[in-house]
Amino acid sequence: MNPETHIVDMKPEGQSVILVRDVFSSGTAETSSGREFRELVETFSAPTAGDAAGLGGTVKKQTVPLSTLYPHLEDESSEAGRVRSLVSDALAASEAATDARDHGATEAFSQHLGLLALQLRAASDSAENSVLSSVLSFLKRSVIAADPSSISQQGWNALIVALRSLRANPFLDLEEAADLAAELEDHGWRGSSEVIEGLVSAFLEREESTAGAPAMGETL
Amino acid sequence: MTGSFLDTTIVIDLSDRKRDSTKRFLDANPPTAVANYALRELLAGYLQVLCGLHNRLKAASSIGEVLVALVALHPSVGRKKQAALQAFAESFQANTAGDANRGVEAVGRDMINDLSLRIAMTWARSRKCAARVQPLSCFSPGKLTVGPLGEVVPPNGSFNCDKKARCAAAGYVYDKQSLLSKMIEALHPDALDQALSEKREIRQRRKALKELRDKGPEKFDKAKCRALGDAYFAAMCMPGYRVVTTNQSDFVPLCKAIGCELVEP
Repeated sequence: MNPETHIVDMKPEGQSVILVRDVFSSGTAETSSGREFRELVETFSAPTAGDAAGLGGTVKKQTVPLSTLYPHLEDESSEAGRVRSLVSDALAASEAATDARDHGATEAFSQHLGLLALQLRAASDSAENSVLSSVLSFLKRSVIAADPSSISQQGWNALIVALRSLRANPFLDLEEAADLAAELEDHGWRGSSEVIEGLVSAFLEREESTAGAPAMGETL
Repeated sequence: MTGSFLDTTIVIDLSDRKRDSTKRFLDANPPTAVANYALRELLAGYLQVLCGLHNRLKAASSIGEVLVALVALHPSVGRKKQAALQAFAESFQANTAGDANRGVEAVGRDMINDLSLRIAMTWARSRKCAARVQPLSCFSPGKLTVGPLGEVVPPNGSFNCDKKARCAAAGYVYDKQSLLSKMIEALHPDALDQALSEKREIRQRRKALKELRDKGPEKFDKAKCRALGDAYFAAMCMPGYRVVTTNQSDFVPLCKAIGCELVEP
């Protein structure tokens, strides 16, 4: 078996199997459940036992539509569908920005970043899922705060992978959201909220001055 | 080569990205190790306070209730309460004034969501900041999750240790009998300068160490686990490592007494 491919499930009819391909093995910001979700819809028909023995079968890709698994994601009248559509728009804006960036069109790149930020904000405002909303908000602030001339290629790729991941899997948990945001920060994005940093700083100073003191609910 | 054994202040420093100098120092002084006890301290202290704040803000249904929540913070926040209030008020004002189309409710919701993400980022980073050593049978640093009411839920539903399990940190320190006695002597008020001898935290630490020495880990009061604090890191620092902290002064008498190396980046 190819080291980047392994089978996670096998359907009884027609010897079809679901193959898992780790196409995001470069360490970019994709959540684990995002990957699982994407991998789940990458369904392949494997050769039959006879085919596998060299009797002439070919591997054929069959994709399960998202609407089959999660119909409401495709329904723009639903909250989930609207958010997904807005994230798709953000992804399209990021692709347009990539084109501008690749052609060295700094002004156009900057303009596309502005559009991207607006779409991220619309998506964040629309998301009722607090975790998804917080990540989209983090992305929005990251884009707003970024200096277009200093975004690295790795950083830009990380942002796009994060957007793709959110589009594929809007159901991320808090830890996945934290990992995604932390990885973006590691690539130079600054999406933290100033107000929250202000609050946390106040507590940080408190903790440093009283490390080892009993926590709330603990008594000495 | 001397490795770095991180105390809780350094874990917070790394997790919150407060100082690049800390990371540079650790990169230059590998390997780095963090005791599960540091994560236990972080969760029971700093993160518990932030989660409590988050959940209070989440429960508030108006800006007035948000202010009440901040004013009513735990007394241990003390003198920093005013700074927290000020930071909140200024940013809230700036956020709402900057966008007339967004209601106070939407801005408040964003801030609460941001806080939960911020808490989760701190916890996620702290769990990955260095090689984890010295597992605690009473504590498992699992995931933070979001509960049905939108509250931040700690790993296994508690910010503290398993109530039924013996204090594993106390067990580790108790095994270092000779160090235990030396640390108790080192924290005697007569052996300290005035500033340290008057610190409540230092007195509590000595009391906890004495109880551990006299009663053993089986009967040690688990509520005093966090009072061990710096004594745990000093006693449990591994050969070839030195304790790294941002709060060197409290460590000095302990490390001097037991011959443990100490450094502040």
